[in-house]
Amino acid sequence: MATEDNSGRLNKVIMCAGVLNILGLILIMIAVLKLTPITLIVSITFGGFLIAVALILYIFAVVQDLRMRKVL
Amino acid sequence: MLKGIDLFQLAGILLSEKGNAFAPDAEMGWINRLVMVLCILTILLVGYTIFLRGKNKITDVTSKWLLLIGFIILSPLIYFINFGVSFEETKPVSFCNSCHVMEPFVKDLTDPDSEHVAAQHYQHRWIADNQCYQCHTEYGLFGTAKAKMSGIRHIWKYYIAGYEKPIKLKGTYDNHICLHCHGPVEGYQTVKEHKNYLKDLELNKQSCFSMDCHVSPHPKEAALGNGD
Repeated sequence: MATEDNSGRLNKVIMCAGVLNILGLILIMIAVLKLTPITLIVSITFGGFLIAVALILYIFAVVQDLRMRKVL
Repeated sequence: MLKGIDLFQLAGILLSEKGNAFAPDAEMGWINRLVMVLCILTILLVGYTIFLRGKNKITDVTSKWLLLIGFIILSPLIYFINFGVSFEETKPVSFCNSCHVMEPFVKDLTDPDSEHVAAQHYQHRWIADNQCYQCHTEYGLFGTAKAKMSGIRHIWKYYIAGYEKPIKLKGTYDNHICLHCHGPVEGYQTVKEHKNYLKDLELNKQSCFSMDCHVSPHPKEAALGNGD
Protein backbone atom coordinates (compact mmCIF):
# COMPACT_ATOMS: atom_id res chain seq x y z
CA MET A 1 0.00 0.00 0.00
CA ALA A 2 2.79 2.34 1.02
CA THR A 3 4.67 1.40 -2.15
CA GLU A 4 1.64 2.28 -4.30
CA ASP A 5 1.37 5.64 -2.52
CA ASN A 6 5.04 6.31 -3.16
CA SER A 7 4.70 5.26 -6.78
CA GLY A 8 1.72 7.59 -7.21
CA ARG A 9 3.72 10.40 -5.64
CA LEU A 10 6.64 9.75 -7.97
CA ASN A 11 4.25 9.84 -10.93
CA LYS A 12 3.12 13.28 -9.81
CA VAL A 13 6.70 14.47 -9.35
CA ILE A 14 7.64 13.32 -12.86
CA MET A 15 4.51 14.89 -14.34
CA CYS A 16 5.33 18.12 -12.57
CA ALA A 17 8.90 17.94 -13.93
CA GLY A 18 7.53 17.36 -17.42
CA VAL A 19 5.22 20.37 -17.26
CA LEU A 20 8.04 22.62 -15.95
CA ASN A 21 10.38 21.33 -18.64
CA ILE A 22 7.83 22.07 -21.38
CA LEU A 23 7.23 25.57 -19.98
CA GLY A 24 10.99 26.24 -19.91
CA LEU A 25 11.33 25.10 -23.51
CA ILE A 26 8.38 27.28 -24.57
CA LEU A 27 10.13 30.31 -23.04
CA ILE A 28 13.24 29.47 -25.05
CA MET A 29 11.12 29.12 -28.20
CA ILE A 30 9.56 32.56 -27.62
CA ALA A 31 13.05 34.10 -27.55
CA VAL A 32 13.98 32.32 -30.76
CA LEU A 33 10.75 33.36 -32.50
CA LYS A 34 10.67 36.97 -31.32
CA LEU A 35 14.03 38.13 -30.06
CA THR A 36 13.80 41.26 -27.92
CA PRO A 37 15.90 42.09 -24.87
CA ILE A 38 13.14 40.99 -22.50
CA THR A 39 12.37 37.67 -24.23
CA LEU A 40 16.09 36.97 -24.24
CA ILE A 41 16.50 37.58 -20.52
CA VAL A 42 13.31 35.68 -19.68
CA SER A 43 14.40 32.68 -21.74
CA ILE A 44 17.86 32.60 -20.18
CA THR A 45 16.78 33.15 -16.56
CA PHE A 46 13.25 31.76 -16.15
CA GLY A 47 13.63 29.21 -18.95
CA GLY A 48 16.88 27.96 -17.49
CA PHE A 49 15.43 27.93 -13.99
CA LEU A 50 12.40 25.85 -15.05
CA ILE A 51 14.56 23.39 -16.98
CA ALA A 52 16.93 23.06 -14.00
CA VAL A 53 14.05 22.48 -11.56
CA ALA A 54 12.56 19.88 -13.91
CA LEU A 55 15.91 18.11 -14.09
CA ILE A 56 16.29 18.10 -10.29
CA LEU A 57 12.75 16.76 -9.83
CA TYR A 58 13.40 14.01 -12.37
CA ILE A 59 16.66 12.97 -10.68
CA PHE A 60 14.89 13.07 -7.31
CA ALA A 61 12.13 10.80 -8.67
CA VAL A 62 14.65 8.36 -10.16
CA VAL A 63 16.65 8.19 -6.91
CA GLN A 64 13.48 7.65 -4.86
CA ASP A 65 12.36 4.93 -7.28
CA LEU A 66 15.73 3.16 -7.00
CA ARG A 67 15.53 3.40 -3.20
CA MET A 68 12.05 1.89 -3.25
CA ARG A 69 13.42 -1.00 -5.27
CA LYS A 70 16.33 -1.20 -2.82
CA VAL A 71 18.87 -0.73 -5.58
CA LEU A 72 20.38 2.23 -3.73
CA MET B 1 10.45 54.13 -9.48
CA LEU B 2 10.13 50.40 -8.92
CA LYS B 3 6.93 49.17 -10.49
CA GLY B 4 7.10 45.62 -9.13
CA ILE B 5 6.70 42.48 -11.21
CA ASP B 6 3.92 39.97 -11.44
CA LEU B 7 3.30 37.23 -13.94
CA PHE B 8 0.62 39.17 -15.80
CA GLN B 9 2.91 42.18 -16.14
CA LEU B 10 5.69 39.94 -17.38
CA ALA B 11 3.36 38.25 -19.89
CA GLY B 12 2.21 41.70 -21.05
CA ILE B 13 5.80 42.81 -21.58
CA LEU B 14 6.63 39.60 -23.44
CA LEU B 15 3.73 40.05 -25.82
CA SER B 16 3.90 43.82 -26.16
CA GLU B 17 5.75 45.74 -28.83
CA LYS B 18 7.83 47.69 -26.32
CA GLY B 19 10.94 46.12 -27.75
CA ASN B 20 11.34 45.84 -31.49
CA ALA B 21 11.65 42.29 -32.71
CA PHE B 22 15.21 41.82 -33.83
CA ALA B 23 16.04 39.73 -36.88
CA PRO B 24 19.03 37.50 -36.14
CA ASP B 25 22.02 37.30 -38.46
CA ALA B 26 21.87 34.81 -41.29
CA GLU B 27 24.77 32.93 -39.68
CA MET B 28 22.71 32.45 -36.55
CA GLY B 29 19.61 31.48 -38.53
CA TRP B 30 20.47 27.81 -38.87
CA ILE B 31 21.34 27.50 -35.17
CA ASN B 32 18.02 29.13 -34.26
CA ARG B 33 16.23 26.67 -36.54
CA LEU B 34 18.14 23.83 -34.86
CA VAL B 35 17.09 25.13 -31.42
CA MET B 36 13.46 25.33 -32.59
CA VAL B 37 13.50 21.78 -33.99
CA LEU B 38 15.13 20.43 -30.82
CA CYS B 39 12.61 22.32 -28.65
CA ILE B 40 9.64 20.90 -30.59
CA LEU B 41 11.09 17.38 -30.52
CA THR B 42 11.74 17.57 -26.78
CA ILE B 43 8.28 18.98 -26.03
CA LEU B 44 6.71 16.19 -28.11
CA LEU B 45 8.90 13.57 -26.43
CA VAL B 46 8.18 14.74 -22.88
CA GLY B 47 4.51 15.48 -23.63
CA TYR B 48 3.98 12.07 -25.22
CA THR B 49 5.70 10.23 -22.36
CA ILE B 50 3.84 12.04 -19.61
CA PHE B 51 0.40 12.74 -21.06
CA LEU B 52 -0.16 10.20 -23.84
CA ARG B 53 1.54 6.98 -22.71
CA GLY B 54 -0.84 6.61 -19.77
CA LYS B 55 -0.49 7.51 -16.14
CA ASN B 56 0.60 4.01 -15.10
CA LYS B 57 3.40 3.92 -17.62
CA ILE B 58 5.20 7.06 -16.43
CA THR B 59 7.61 5.09 -14.28
CA ASP B 60 8.13 2.13 -16.62
CA VAL B 61 11.52 1.53 -18.23
CA THR B 62 10.67 2.97 -21.67
CA SER B 63 9.28 6.17 -20.13
CA LYS B 64 12.35 6.54 -17.96
CA TRP B 65 14.65 6.28 -20.96
CA LEU B 66 12.53 8.70 -23.00
CA LEU B 67 12.47 11.18 -20.12
CA LEU B 68 16.18 10.71 -19.52
CA ILE B 69 16.80 11.78 -23.13
CA GLY B 70 14.38 14.70 -22.75
CA PHE B 71 15.44 15.98 -19.34
CA ILE B 72 19.15 15.19 -19.12
CA ILE B 73 20.34 15.32 -22.72
CA LEU B 74 18.08 17.44 -24.95
CA SER B 75 16.86 20.17 -22.56
CA PRO B 76 20.29 21.18 -21.17
CA LEU B 77 21.71 20.96 -24.70
CA ILE B 78 18.98 23.31 -26.00
CA TYR B 79 19.55 25.68 -23.10
CA PHE B 80 23.30 25.92 -23.60
CA ILE B 81 23.03 26.32 -27.39
CA ASN B 82 20.44 29.07 -26.86
CA PHE B 83 22.63 30.67 -24.19
CA GLY B 84 25.64 30.82 -26.52
CA VAL B 85 23.61 32.03 -29.49
CA SER B 86 21.89 34.66 -27.34
CA PHE B 87 25.22 36.11 -26.24
CA GLU B 88 26.28 36.44 -29.86
CA GLU B 89 22.98 37.96 -30.90
CA THR B 90 23.20 40.73 -28.33
CA LYS B 91 26.28 42.17 -30.04
CA PRO B 92 24.95 43.75 -33.28
CA VAL B 93 23.87 47.40 -33.42
CA SER B 94 20.39 46.26 -34.46
CA PHE B 95 19.96 44.53 -31.09
CA CYS B 96 20.86 47.72 -29.19
CA ASN B 97 18.38 49.53 -31.41
CA SER B 98 15.62 47.16 -30.31
CA CYS B 99 15.19 49.37 -27.22
CA HIS B 100 13.48 52.59 -28.35
CA VAL B 101 15.68 54.70 -26.09
CA MET B 102 18.66 53.79 -28.27
CA GLU B 103 17.02 54.83 -31.53
CA PRO B 104 18.39 58.43 -31.61
CA PHE B 105 21.91 57.08 -31.07
CA VAL B 106 21.60 54.57 -33.89
CA LYS B 107 19.92 57.16 -36.12
CA ASP B 108 22.96 59.37 -35.66
CA LEU B 109 25.27 56.44 -36.46
CA THR B 110 23.64 56.04 -39.85
CA ASP B 111 23.33 59.76 -40.60
CA PRO B 112 25.81 60.53 -43.40
CA ASP B 113 26.04 64.18 -42.26
CA SER B 114 26.94 63.31 -38.69
CA GLU B 115 30.42 64.23 -37.52
CA HIS B 116 30.17 62.51 -34.17
CA VAL B 117 32.93 60.05 -33.40
CA ALA B 118 30.62 57.04 -33.16
CA ALA B 119 29.01 57.83 -36.52
CA GLN B 120 32.43 58.26 -38.16
CA HIS B 121 33.61 54.92 -36.81
CA TYR B 122 30.39 53.27 -37.98
CA GLN B 123 30.17 54.78 -41.44
CA HIS B 124 33.83 54.42 -42.34
CA ARG B 125 33.81 50.90 -40.97
CA TRP B 126 36.77 51.70 -38.74
CA ILE B 127 35.07 49.14 -36.58
CA ALA B 128 33.89 46.38 -38.88
CA ASP B 129 30.80 45.25 -36.99
CA ASN B 130 29.07 45.21 -33.58
CA GLN B 131 30.11 48.85 -33.18
CA CYS B 132 28.09 49.59 -30.00
CA TYR B 133 29.42 46.46 -28.35
CA GLN B 134 33.03 47.09 -29.38
CA CYS B 135 33.10 50.62 -27.93
CA HIS B 136 31.12 49.84 -24.79
CA THR B 137 32.90 46.64 -23.79
CA GLU B 138 36.12 46.75 -21.87
CA TYR B 139 38.96 44.55 -22.97
CA GLY B 140 40.44 41.96 -20.67
CA LEU B 141 39.24 38.85 -18.92
CA PHE B 142 36.06 40.28 -17.40
CA GLY B 143 35.20 42.82 -20.10
CA THR B 144 32.52 40.71 -21.76
CA ALA B 145 31.03 39.62 -18.42
CA LYS B 146 30.85 43.26 -17.27
CA ALA B 147 29.20 44.26 -20.54
CA LYS B 148 26.59 41.52 -20.15
CA MET B 149 25.88 42.59 -16.57
CA SER B 150 25.44 46.17 -17.80
CA GLY B 151 23.07 44.87 -20.46
CA ILE B 152 20.97 43.08 -17.84
CA ARG B 153 20.90 46.29 -15.74
CA HIS B 154 19.77 48.27 -18.80
CA ILE B 155 16.96 45.80 -19.51
CA TRP B 156 15.88 45.91 -15.86
CA LYS B 157 15.74 49.71 -15.94
CA TYR B 158 14.11 49.87 -19.36
CA TYR B 159 11.29 47.43 -18.61
CA ILE B 160 10.84 47.40 -14.85
CA ALA B 161 12.57 49.99 -12.68
CA GLY B 162 12.38 52.95 -15.04
CA TYR B 163 15.04 55.53 -15.85
CA GLU B 164 15.48 59.27 -16.04
CA LYS B 165 16.16 61.34 -19.12
CA PRO B 166 18.65 62.39 -20.28
CA ILE B 167 20.20 58.98 -20.00
CA LYS B 168 23.82 58.95 -18.85
CA LEU B 169 26.74 56.60 -19.11
CA LYS B 170 27.26 54.92 -15.75
CA GLY B 171 30.67 55.86 -14.36
CA THR B 172 33.53 57.10 -16.49
CA TYR B 173 34.17 55.91 -20.01
CA ASP B 174 37.26 53.75 -20.02
CA ASN B 175 39.88 55.33 -22.33
CA HIS B 176 41.56 51.95 -22.70
CA ILE B 177 38.78 50.97 -25.11
CA CYS B 178 39.93 53.77 -27.44
CA LEU B 179 43.61 53.19 -26.70
CA HIS B 180 43.34 49.49 -27.46
CA CYS B 181 43.14 50.36 -31.19
CA HIS B 182 44.57 53.87 -31.33
CA GLY B 183 47.34 53.57 -28.73
CA PRO B 184 49.84 51.56 -30.79
CA VAL B 185 49.30 53.67 -33.95
CA GLU B 186 52.16 56.01 -34.86
CA GLY B 187 49.74 58.78 -35.80
CA TYR B 188 48.40 58.73 -32.27
CA GLN B 189 51.77 58.57 -30.56
CA THR B 190 53.23 61.53 -32.44
CA VAL B 191 50.49 63.96 -31.31
CA LYS B 192 51.98 66.23 -28.62
CA GLU B 193 48.78 66.36 -26.53
CA HIS B 194 48.58 62.58 -26.40
CA LYS B 195 52.13 62.47 -25.01
CA ASN B 196 51.44 65.23 -22.50
CA TYR B 197 48.27 63.64 -21.19
CA LEU B 198 49.28 60.02 -21.58
CA LYS B 199 49.22 59.22 -17.86
CA ASP B 200 45.91 61.01 -17.30
CA LEU B 201 44.38 59.27 -20.29
CA GLU B 202 45.55 55.88 -19.08
CA LEU B 203 44.19 56.54 -15.60
CA ASN B 204 40.89 57.88 -17.01
CA LYS B 205 41.51 61.22 -15.29
CA GLN B 206 41.20 62.91 -18.65
CA SER B 207 38.56 62.07 -21.23
CA CYS B 208 39.37 61.96 -24.94
CA PHE B 209 36.30 64.14 -25.47
CA SER B 210 36.97 66.84 -22.91
CA MET B 211 38.89 70.09 -23.56
CA ASP B 212 37.53 70.07 -27.14
CA CYS B 213 40.13 67.48 -28.14
CA HIS B 214 37.70 65.22 -30.00
CA VAL B 215 34.11 65.60 -31.15
CA SER B 216 31.51 64.10 -28.81
CA PRO B 217 30.84 60.41 -29.56
CA HIS B 218 27.06 60.88 -29.70
CA PRO B 219 24.81 63.93 -30.11
CA LYS B 220 23.80 65.34 -26.73
CA GLU B 221 20.12 65.49 -27.69
CA ALA B 222 20.14 61.73 -28.34
CA ALA B 223 20.35 61.18 -24.59
CA LEU B 224 16.89 62.71 -24.26
CA GLY B 225 15.52 59.76 -26.22
CA ASN B 226 12.37 59.66 -28.28
CA GLY B 227 10.70 56.48 -27.10
CA ASP B 228 9.52 54.81 -23.92
